[in-house]
Parts: sequence; C-alpha cells; structure tokens
Amino acid sequence: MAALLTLAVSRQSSILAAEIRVNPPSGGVAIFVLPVPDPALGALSAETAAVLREAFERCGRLAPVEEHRLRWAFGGARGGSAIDVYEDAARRLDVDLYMVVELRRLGESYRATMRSIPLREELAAMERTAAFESRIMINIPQKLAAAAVMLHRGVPVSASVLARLDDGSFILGAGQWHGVGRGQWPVSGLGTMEILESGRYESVARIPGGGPGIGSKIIIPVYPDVRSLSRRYETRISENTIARYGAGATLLKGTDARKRYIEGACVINPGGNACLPVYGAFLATGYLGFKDHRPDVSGLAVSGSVLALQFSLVPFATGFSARFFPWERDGDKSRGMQRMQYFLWASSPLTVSAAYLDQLAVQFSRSGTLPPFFEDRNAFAALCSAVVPGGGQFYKARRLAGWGFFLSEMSLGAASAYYFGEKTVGGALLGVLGAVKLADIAAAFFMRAGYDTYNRETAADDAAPVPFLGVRESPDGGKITMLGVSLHY
Amino acid sequence: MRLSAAVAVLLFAAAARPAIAARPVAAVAGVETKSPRGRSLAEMFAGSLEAALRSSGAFDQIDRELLADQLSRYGCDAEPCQIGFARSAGVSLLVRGKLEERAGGLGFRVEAYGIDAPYFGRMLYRYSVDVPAGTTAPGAKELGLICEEHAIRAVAGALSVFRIPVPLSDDGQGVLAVSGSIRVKAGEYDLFRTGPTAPTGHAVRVDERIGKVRIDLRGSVTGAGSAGPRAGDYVLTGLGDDAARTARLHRARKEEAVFQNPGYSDAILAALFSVPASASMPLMAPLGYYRYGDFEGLCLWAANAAPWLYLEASGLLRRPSELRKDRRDVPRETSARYTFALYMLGIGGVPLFVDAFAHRYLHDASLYGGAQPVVGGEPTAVFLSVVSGGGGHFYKGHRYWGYLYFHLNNALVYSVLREYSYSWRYNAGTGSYRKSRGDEGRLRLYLGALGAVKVIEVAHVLLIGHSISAGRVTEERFSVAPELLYDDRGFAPALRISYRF
Repeated sequence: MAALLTLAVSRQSSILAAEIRVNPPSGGVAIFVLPVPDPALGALSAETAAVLREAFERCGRLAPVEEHRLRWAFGGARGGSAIDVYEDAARRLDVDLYMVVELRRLGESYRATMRSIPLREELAAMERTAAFESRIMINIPQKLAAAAVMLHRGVPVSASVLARLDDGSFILGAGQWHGVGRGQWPVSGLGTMEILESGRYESVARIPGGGPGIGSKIIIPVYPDVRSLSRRYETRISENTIARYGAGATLLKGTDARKRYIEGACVINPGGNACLPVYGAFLATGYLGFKDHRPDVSGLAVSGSVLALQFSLVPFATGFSARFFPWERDGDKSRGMQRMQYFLWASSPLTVSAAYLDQLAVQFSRSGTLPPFFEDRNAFAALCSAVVPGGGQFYKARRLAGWGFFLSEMSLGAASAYYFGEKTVGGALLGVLGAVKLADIAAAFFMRAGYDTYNRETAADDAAPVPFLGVRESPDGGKITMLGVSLHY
Repeated sequence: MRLSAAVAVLLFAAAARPAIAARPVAAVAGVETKSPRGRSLAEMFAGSLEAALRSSGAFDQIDRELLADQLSRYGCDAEPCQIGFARSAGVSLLVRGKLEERAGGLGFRVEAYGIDAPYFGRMLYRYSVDVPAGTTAPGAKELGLICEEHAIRAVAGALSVFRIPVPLSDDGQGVLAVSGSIRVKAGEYDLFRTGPTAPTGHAVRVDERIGKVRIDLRGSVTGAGSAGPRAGDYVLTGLGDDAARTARLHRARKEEAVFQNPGYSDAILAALFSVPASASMPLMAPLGYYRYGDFEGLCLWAANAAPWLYLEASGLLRRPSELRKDRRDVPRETSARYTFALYMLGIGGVPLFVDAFAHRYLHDASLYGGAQPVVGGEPTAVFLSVVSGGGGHFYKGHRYWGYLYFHLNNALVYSVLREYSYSWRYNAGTGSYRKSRGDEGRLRLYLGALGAVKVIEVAHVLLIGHSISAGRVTEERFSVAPELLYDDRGFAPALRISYRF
C-alpha cells in the first residue's frame, strides 16, 4: 500500500529519473540513431533503437542507456561535427561503448551504416563499421541487431568490486543478467571465486585470500552464446523475406500457394506432359501464376534428351531389332535389357517431374519470388530429393547440381536394373546408387538456396557447413586448439 | 521543500518497511511493443496479466495504469530501472511483458522478477509463446481471448516457481508462528536467517539456511530440530496453488467454449463409423490432410502408414483361401498378414483417419475459431484408445504420442496374430491339409504386452488434455543437450543442462 501511496503522490511531481535508485550493471552502451526527416525512416529509427537495445540486453555485457538519459546527455553535449556531438554525449554518460546508426533510403532499398566505438581500451575489439542494405525495411533493425550480437564474440564478463563486507566477501557488479549465479567461477589471475548469492546485476562473492579492492575489475571467462543469439535475428530476417517474396504473397495472393504447388506437380505437370512431352513441363509452371514467363531452353533440351533416351536406348542398343515395348521380349532382348527397359520407361515420370522442377527454379529466380514451403525449405528439399532425383537441388534453384544428381542416379538405376541378375556387380551398383541417393538428400537439406532475392536479404544466413581450425587462449594461460565444423540450421 | 523530495521520503518509507510483506505486492510494468499497430493488443495483454494476477488472490496490486504513467514520466522503461523502482516501492513480484508482431505471427513474452529474498531482483520465470499467423487473421474477440489465455498461463507458471519469505514471530508466550496473512501449509520447511544487510545502494545479501522447522495447521512452529529458530527468521512458501487452479478453470472454460458436443453421443458415433473410417483410411486420410493443408501431417502419414499399408495390401492380395484353392502350402506369415489386413480394414486404420481430421478441428479450437464438432469428448478418446493404437492421442491432438502407440500397438497385434495363425501344409498323399499353430508361450507373452500397453495407453489418454493451446511455447527455462567438449586432454563427452534467464 505504501507503494500505491508513493505513486499517487508522485503522480503530480516533477521527480527526476535519477532520484529513483537503480543499479546500472555497467557503464553500458549508448545507441544513437541519427535523426531523419522522412516519417517512415523515423519509425524505422525508433524500431532500430529498440531492437538494438534488446540485442545488447540479451548478450548481457553492456546495458543500453535509457532514452531519457540519452536526451539528458544531448542537452549538454558540445562538439564541432555531428559525430563529435555523439562522442561528447557518450563521454558525458560515461558509457563503455557507443553506437551511431545512420539510416537512408536508396531508391527501393534501405541502407544502414553502423559504427560501434568503444571508449574503454579492453573493448577495443568491439570497434567496427558496417553497412547493411535491404529492400525490406523491417529487416534493417534485425541485420543491425545480428551484427551487434556478433560484436560480443569472446567478450568475457568484466565486473567491478562495488563494496567490501565485514566477513571478507564483497559485492560484485555482475549477476544473473551477465550469466553468472551461485557457485564456483574461474577468475582470470585470481584462481576461483565463489558466488554466495546473486541478484540480477549484483552478487555477493568471495575469493580465498580476500580478493581485490573496491573498484577493481574481475574478469570471469564466461562468453555469450552469440551464434544462437544471432540466429534468432537471422530467423526473423528469413521470415520477413519469405513473407515479402513468397509465392503466397506475390504470385498466388488469396490462394493456398502450397496446394497449388502440389497440384501443379502431381496433376497439371503429368497432364501437360501427356499432351506435350517436355514442353508441357514449362506450360505447367503457368499454374503457379507467373506472368509473361518464358521457357528455359537449356533445361528443356536436357530433359527432352533424357526422355528421348529413356524410350530409345534399348532399340538403339539392339540395332532396332528388339521389340519396342518393354513387356514384349524376344531373342534380341536379353533379360537384363528388358529389366533396364522397364526401369527406363517406369522412370519417365521422374524425368518430367525433374523438368518441371527445373523450369520452376528458373521461373521463380526470374520473377524474384520464392517457392511455396520455403519456410521449411531444407526439409522440403530433402523430401523432393527423396522422391525425384536431384529434386531438392532444383527446388533450391541449384540446377546444375540437380541435373548432376538426376543423371547420376538415373544412370546408376539403369545399370543396376541391367546387372540385377549378377550378384556382385548388381549389388555394388545398387550400393553406389543408395550412397548417391543419400548424398542427394543430404545435399538438398544442407545446400544453401540459390535465389538471389533471398540471398541478398540473408547474406549471413549461411546454411553450408563451415570447417574451422583455431587456437584460443585458455583462461589459465594455456592454449586451446579447436577443430570442428560450424553448422547452421 | 520540492515535491520530489517529499516523494523521495515516501519512497524511503516504502523501502524501509519490513523486508517481508504481510501480503506481497505485485506489479505489471506494462507490455512493450515496437509497432504502433500492436499498442492496443499490448494494452489488452497487460490488462489480462493484471487480471490473472488479481484472480490468483495472492497479491495486493499496484494500479497498472498509474504505474505505467509513473514509469513513463520518469523514463523508466529499462529493466534495471524498473527493478530498482520495484524494490523501492516494496513490490515482491514484478511482471514485464513484450508483444512482437512478426511475419510469422504474434509473439507473447512475459518475464517475472522476484524482488525480495531469495531472488534479490533475479528473473525467476520467462514465458514465451508464438501464435502462428494462419490463413485468416483472428478477430479482436479472438485476440482478446488469446491474450487472456497466455496471461493466465504465464502467471500460473510464474507463481508455480515463485517463493515468498514468511517471517516467524513470537506470540509473547514464547511460541513462534508464521506471521502475516500468507497461508502456509502444514509441513516441514527450510528455515532461513537474514544475513548482514548489504551496504546502502546494494540489494543483494547472503541469508543463511540454518536448518528445518515443522509448521502445523495453525502456523505454529512445532518442531525445530537443531535449527534454534527465533523471531525474524523466515521460511519460504509458494503461492502457485490458486494460480494453478485459475489456469485449470480457464482451460475448462475454453473446452466448454470451443467444443460443440463433447459427450457420449460422439463416442457412439465414433463406434458406428469406425469400420468405414478404418477401411477408407488409405484414401480418406491423405485427402483430409490435403484438404486442410496439413502437409506435415501428410508427410508423417506417408512415412508411418507405409509399412502397415504394405502388410495390409500384401495380406489382401495373397489370401490363404486362394492358396488353398490351388492346393498350395500356406505359411503362417501369410495367414497372419491376411488376418492383420482384416484388422486394418476393420479398426486398425481408425487412428490415422482421426488424425487427418481432428488435428484441424483442434487447431481451429485452439485459436477460438468457433465451437468444433466431433472433437473434445473424453468418452470418445477412451473408446478410440481401447479399440485402436493411438486413436485417443490423435483425437486429443498429440500426434507424436499417437504414432508411438500406433506402431507399438500394430507391432504387438501383428506378433499376436503371427503366433495365433495356422500354417497349412498340403499333403499330396492324403489330399488334405495339416495345420499347426505358433508358439503358445510367445502368444501369451505378446498378448500380455498388448494388454499392458492398452492399459498404459488408456490411462495416459485420460491424463492428458486436448491439445488446444493457442500457439507454441518456444522458450523453456531448462534445456538439456549432449555436448562434445575438446581441450588439451582430448575429447570429453558432456551433458549441458542450461537454465535460460
């Protein structure tokens, strides 16, 4: 009730914010977004500041300075140029680091320039200047936030001794917010520190032998998980991009794009190819609403050649002496040849499906849109590859890889059918086919999509596994050798 | 004297009162949102949080609008400031919210901070849920209901872990008892003694756990062991019961609102239609998934149904009677497959039929999309669990549990049939068949296992609720993950248990 009374009385007051006792966790970070006259950019500025503040909050190293304190600092800031004014304001606030963000509109796209300037020597590694561009306005804050998170890579907890207690323990300026809590913690140069109790920003700690005096800095080698934090922002960027360029928002507005995609693949394309082989695959893409679409001749040529080969290989191989239909066998058609012919005929729907997916990859790339199911692109691409050889690669607009897998699997399939009766060769070929199929599915899952529209927005969203080898200083002075693979999923 | 100075005195008075409140104070420090569009929804969510806290009956509350006005007046929008403010104002539980409008839907975040001991400002609970954007955007009424649901769940979750210190006081006759209006259940509690007060400007201190005490129904300390309690010591007690009750009540209300007729009539209908549903499952289930755009369900169906559909087809295409007509031997496997095919036609396909349709109805129900027919009945769930593998779980929307029981049930049914079926060996000399059955011991074993699985399945389906939560909780407080660490000594397998804050 005292609180209610307090608030009721203070409602009319002119109390200053500084009169409310708070425990700032550190000198913090000041985020300055340069003012812009454009109202849309003004809204973007506000959102950028909010998202950046959230990013710093989540990293738990530098607390963002509140809006009213920024205004206060600007009130008395002096400087020659605009940048000097920000530096002066940052020094008045006694922050550890300040960021200056400039937003601009360049035709259809938006551009942000971010400068992070540390004011403490130990944070020198956080100095960075970077520029980001996007055609989607709401992606700008997310890109900046992801970059701000990555600035925290390898930044340990640096906490001050705030007060000493009678029993030899001391108040440490780090707590749950920084990622430390009750227990034993290694401390650079001081052995082990025991945290007896922790609050959000402060803890009571003890170091055998007394520990350092008031104002001393204690470095705890605990690092923020920047990968998972930045992935959060990358996911948002991806979601925004799909919402803007996805087929459901562009080509097929008002309809269920996913259903159209399935219908196109399972009904329209087979029907189109039954009427007009190969070219029907291109015509079927029209069902997904492409305007003024043109066929890709190279893709049609490849698929046409493969289809022709599927029906003519056995007649050619037997000098046109064997009967044409696979179910009719004669003396010129060996059992192996008949099995292969069955395979080639039976797999012709896969060829027209591959042709269709290939034409779709071209149409989606040309129209700057993204196919349905793109939010689950990795799983869907793997599924496509499981059904159609190279299908996942086509889905991700990696046509060359798609045709590579398609031709490999079809050749191995035909050879396996031919040699099926011979245990050793047939078994080996089937084994190789299985291995290639697995590689196809895995590659489809992990391969980065080839749509420029998407890649432009998510430049950092790298799905390919990246090997790394490195050496890092260990907290106790030694070296840690690291070898591994970073996998983005 | 400036008014602000007077307020500072009042703030000091608030802060200087006993650290342990007779009745704790809770405050909702607003719901942050970045978009102007989200403001009205954020306001609605904040109101729901406040109402949920009030309905828990455990707290005195600071008027939210008044608090918001004050915080905004002081520019106190950041976490450190609000925690400091809460501490100065004698608040025990501070709740902050955030609403995110994203391309993928709406995100509700709630963070709760304990201000007194044993938290000293720490975040004690975080609730995070994503409500996906469907094909149709929910209306204002539905959004209000979604806000209310998540507010109640978040508050119940926070209160389930929140502990409040309750001090012991002397009644003047040397008997120690818990003081204040907070209900403390009879039982054994850890006893804490307040440690040395932190220097001015710092909030955290080390309280000592000095032992255990037993508290009776009247709140008196009856057993102290070696603790040696004295007035001013405190025990920690929870306030989650009322909030959990409110959450259960809300859930029951939601079930009443979103299920049309969840009674025995649905179970009778399910019984009548189970055979045609099972027989038509191979065709109707994929059509159902496709009709409702449930492509995840379709993929799961294709992968999970394939082996059983193969057995069904194989049993029907290679019937024992046909083989006997041709006077050929009938292996036990063939007889078993045929009987299994009849089982799949008669009842075994029901679970997947149910999944194809119930999943959509439950999805609509979860987002308050009107009263849904057919789903929601407990008798129907039990009936489906009894007669089929995982049917009740699919019916309640627990797809992965459903598939687990489906496979387990089918494997056991097939094993039973395999041992029970006859193998028919044709004797050309006598022109007759000699039939023999499988191992009786194994048959009993499989039957026993099937019975046990059924009992567990039915009990499980009765214990779990319908999957009608609006959205998906994305952030848990605890997570466990295997990890491989490498240092100078080589690789070391490890298990990472992390607590998110």
